[in-house]
Amino acid sequence: MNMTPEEREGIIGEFLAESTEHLQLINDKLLEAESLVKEGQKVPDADLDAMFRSAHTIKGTASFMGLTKVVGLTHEAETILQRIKEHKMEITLEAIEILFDGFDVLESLLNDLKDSNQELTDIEESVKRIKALLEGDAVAPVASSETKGETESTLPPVESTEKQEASQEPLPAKSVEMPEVSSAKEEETNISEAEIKNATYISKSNINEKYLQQYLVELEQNIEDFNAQLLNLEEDNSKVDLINNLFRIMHTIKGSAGIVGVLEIQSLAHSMENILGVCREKGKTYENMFTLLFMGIDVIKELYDSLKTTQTVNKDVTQLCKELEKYYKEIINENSSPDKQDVLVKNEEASAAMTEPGLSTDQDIKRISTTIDISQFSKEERKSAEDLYKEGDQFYQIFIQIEGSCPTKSMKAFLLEEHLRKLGTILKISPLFESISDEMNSEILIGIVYASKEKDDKIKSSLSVEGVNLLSFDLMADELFSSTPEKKESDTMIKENSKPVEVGAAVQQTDVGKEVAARAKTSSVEISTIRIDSQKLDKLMNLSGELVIVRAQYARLVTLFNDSLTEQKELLRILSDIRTKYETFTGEYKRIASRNGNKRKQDEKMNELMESLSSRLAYLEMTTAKSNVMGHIHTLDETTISLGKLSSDIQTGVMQTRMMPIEGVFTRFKRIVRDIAKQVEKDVSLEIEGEDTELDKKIVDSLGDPLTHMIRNAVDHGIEDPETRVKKGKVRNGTVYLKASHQGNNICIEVGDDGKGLDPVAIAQSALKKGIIAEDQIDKMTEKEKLNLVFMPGFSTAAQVTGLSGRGVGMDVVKSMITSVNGVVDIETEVDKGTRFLMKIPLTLAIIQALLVVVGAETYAIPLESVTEIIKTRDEDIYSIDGNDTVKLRDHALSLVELEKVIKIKGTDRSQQKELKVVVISDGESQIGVAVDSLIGEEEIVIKSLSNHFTEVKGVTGASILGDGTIALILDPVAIIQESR
Amino acid sequence: MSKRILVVDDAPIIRLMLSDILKFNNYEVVGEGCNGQEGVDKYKELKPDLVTMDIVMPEKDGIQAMTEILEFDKNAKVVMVTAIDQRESLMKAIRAGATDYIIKPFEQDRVLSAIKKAFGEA
Repeated sequence: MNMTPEEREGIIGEFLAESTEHLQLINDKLLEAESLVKEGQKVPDADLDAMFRSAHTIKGTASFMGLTKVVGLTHEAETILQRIKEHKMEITLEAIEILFDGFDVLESLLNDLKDSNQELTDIEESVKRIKALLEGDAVAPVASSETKGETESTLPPVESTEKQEASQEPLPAKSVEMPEVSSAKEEETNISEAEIKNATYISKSNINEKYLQQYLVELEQNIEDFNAQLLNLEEDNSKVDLINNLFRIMHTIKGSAGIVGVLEIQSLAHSMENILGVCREKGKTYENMFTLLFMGIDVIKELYDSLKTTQTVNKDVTQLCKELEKYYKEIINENSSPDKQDVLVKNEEASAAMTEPGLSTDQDIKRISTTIDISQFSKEERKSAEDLYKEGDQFYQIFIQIEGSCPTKSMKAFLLEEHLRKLGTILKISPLFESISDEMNSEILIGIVYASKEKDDKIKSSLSVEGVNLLSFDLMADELFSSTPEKKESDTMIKENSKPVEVGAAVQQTDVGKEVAARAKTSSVEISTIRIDSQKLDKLMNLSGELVIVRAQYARLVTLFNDSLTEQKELLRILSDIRTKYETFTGEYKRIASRNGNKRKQDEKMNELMESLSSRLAYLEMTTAKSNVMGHIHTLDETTISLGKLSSDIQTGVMQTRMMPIEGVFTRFKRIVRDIAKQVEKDVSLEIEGEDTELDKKIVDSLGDPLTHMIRNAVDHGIEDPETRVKKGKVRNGTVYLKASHQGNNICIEVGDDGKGLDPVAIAQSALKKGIIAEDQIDKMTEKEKLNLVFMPGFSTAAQVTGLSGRGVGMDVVKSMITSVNGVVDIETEVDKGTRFLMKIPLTLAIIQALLVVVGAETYAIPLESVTEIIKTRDEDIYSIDGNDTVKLRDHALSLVELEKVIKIKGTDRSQQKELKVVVISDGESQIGVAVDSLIGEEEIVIKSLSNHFTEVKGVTGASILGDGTIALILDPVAIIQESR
Repeated sequence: MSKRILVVDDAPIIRLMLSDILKFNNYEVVGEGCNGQEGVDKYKELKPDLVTMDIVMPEKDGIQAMTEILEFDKNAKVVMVTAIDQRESLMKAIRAGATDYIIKPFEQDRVLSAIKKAFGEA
């Protein structure tokens, strides 16, 4: 089977995923088997069977992939498993050990394939051992470190120690803080040193690769949202509700970064979140914060890019974090006393305040905790206890321990207090949660005297909390309270203090709850979405494309069957012919025989023969007529039709899943326009329309860069500076607009501005100067052709090359990118009114309607989009202009080319043909007639990309497999038109 | 029968990790919610044995969601999953009736311990 490298890679990915699962299964079963063997028990046949099947599957797939080492090794392992399964061999610990070793080597082979697409690990040793076992020889002991050592040694030593450190020391509780760097040294570091440091920056992050991809998907969305909302907020400071959103987004970025282990993003996000936290609290924004926050999110984007491409972080964010922290301190100090020196993060303040003097050592706490005694109750405490006793409460003495490793001890203590309060009354607790510091590393003992009417099980379970151990839970003796005097004051006091507040809060919450619930009713109809790796969709798309091909093959089968049906009819006809001839023959024979009655013996023999012949003929007729081929073909035909309908439904469905709104691309331009306008000191606003227009994800992705370029151009070159605009009588503020809309199977995207417009003459002159065109060409050019010169490589109209545009990435790149997604670009412009770039792009890339034509011995597909009409022309209608064949098509002259001359293939001599078949194609600007040998018809074809070797071949964009299995090259109308000039 | 758990968090990655941890340890993750409102709706629909609930979420925060869940089922077990610097919110959540909480970034052991303790299994 021939595969393109992409296909192979995709299949290897599948293979790896599948095999890893099988390996997992085998390893699990082997472990079970090992313990069973150790205990002298029998390993279940089902388990052996499962292992064998898994190994067998790996081998099968690997042999399909041509992975010789995997096949070789798995084959041996499979043989052992098979023998054991068939009870031809005993399953010993030794055999299990050898199998473990073999599968370890297999695993390392799979890792090789994952990393480098090659089988690197040596399998010889392992195979040898397995073979020795099979032959019943003494087996060399397994050197367990051998294979593992090999793979590990490829890692740079720095990284491995790095990883070890990180794994020994899980993220510290306050990991969001920047690693402490000696500040004096840091400030001395000059830029070049810092740069060098950046270049060789080794991240402290211990990234959890398993979840990285998922995180990146999420991060990308969050970055986009953050940018959009921050921009929105900058435009309108009064939208304070946006601060909440921004805070939340940043909070999510931080949280997930912490989980995945990207310390850099976590630190940055923390610093940014702090700033936003101040804004949220004070309900206002600060002027300078936007630049800093934009800077921050940009760096996060950079980190995102780096993570996406290299799975590592190569940027030191310490400096930026410091700046953000500094700014944070500035704004938080703004309203508070200026002489307050070290402003701590709010929660640090809180926790610092919680540490009571005198409670700092563990002994103290233990002393206080263990000395809880009813005899030490104050008068009031005793009173309240009395009343509770009378109400029928049970009294308990409880000791709880909070684990030393718990990062949030005071909060756990608070949780316990709250849980207890919900079920009863805490008469005494020591230490109070407020006095517990999270910083203490030792365990904390809390003593409680508690009264409750609830069952003790319920109380106990309320104390069942992570990080907390219940040490003792004792019912206190009743006598304790019997002798104390009665008074009710304290009881009512407690009730007054707690209950009304609670009730009030509850009422409020229910109101809010109702409101939200009402809102939820309307919003519950919303369609829920899931995120899917786009590669999976690509694959699905390819598969649905394959389905189209299979359908076409079936359709062809039906035709073939129909042909054989005709043959069958012919056969029947011949049979009946034979029958007639036979009847005539027998009649004739009998007549002759009766005439010469003397030859009896021969007569008998002849009769016998005739009877036998007759019966066989009858049988033949019967079977041929009886076979219901026609009916079967009819059914097949119908099935093929429904298959066709299904496959096209699936295709549409899959295509729709790939559709995403262009919004994602559009929103980022707000930011870009803002940045550029600021840089070139112009007033420019961006108007966006149709951002909910949907198109194929692949196209959305490829639109980003060309659109960015056009938008930059529009702001930088298109829009005049404010003074000039005012002089021209225009509004000071320039507008750039971006529109998207659907038009049939295409999407139209428009980038425009109300700037100075393009001047065709100036463009032509500029192109002349740059040597892109010759002087004599200019006169022949239409205005449009002159305008289109901006798409030529090496063109730039700006008199002044600014830092923004004119970097050599010109409109030619834009055009080629649009063309690469089968789109066309058109320019409309008017001097001093503005410029519009119109792009027309097909909705999807994978499947197109095409016209199939034949030239020479080959079939070609021309995208139907670019076919305007098909004409027949007679030889005498063709005349020559400038040596080019031309025909008159209605009132226009149409250049005629022969396809074979453009794509340089062997064609047919058409000089003898009276009539030429001509397909008229267009690239949106000009038309051309392509002469072909014959036309097959319209068909839906699936585009298969050609490998990179073919990028130089002009005029061909891809290939497609047709129903009969032949391959048709897909022609590129744009290139053909260009080439024929 | 394994205990049924609903995971509510606006970050897909956290949902994924929690689900992985839980599933791997023989809990059944009956559903996921990506905001508070979904959390409430799914609770009512699925009636899980326990909910892990993020605090800072769009649409409806975890505290409000938990409050509504508790109104619906006063015995609901809700374990908050929150960042360490959300002290104020966490205290609010505890007051409102959270069963326990886990601090992000979390370790598998802590998650499991919190769940087990909530079920009274340890």
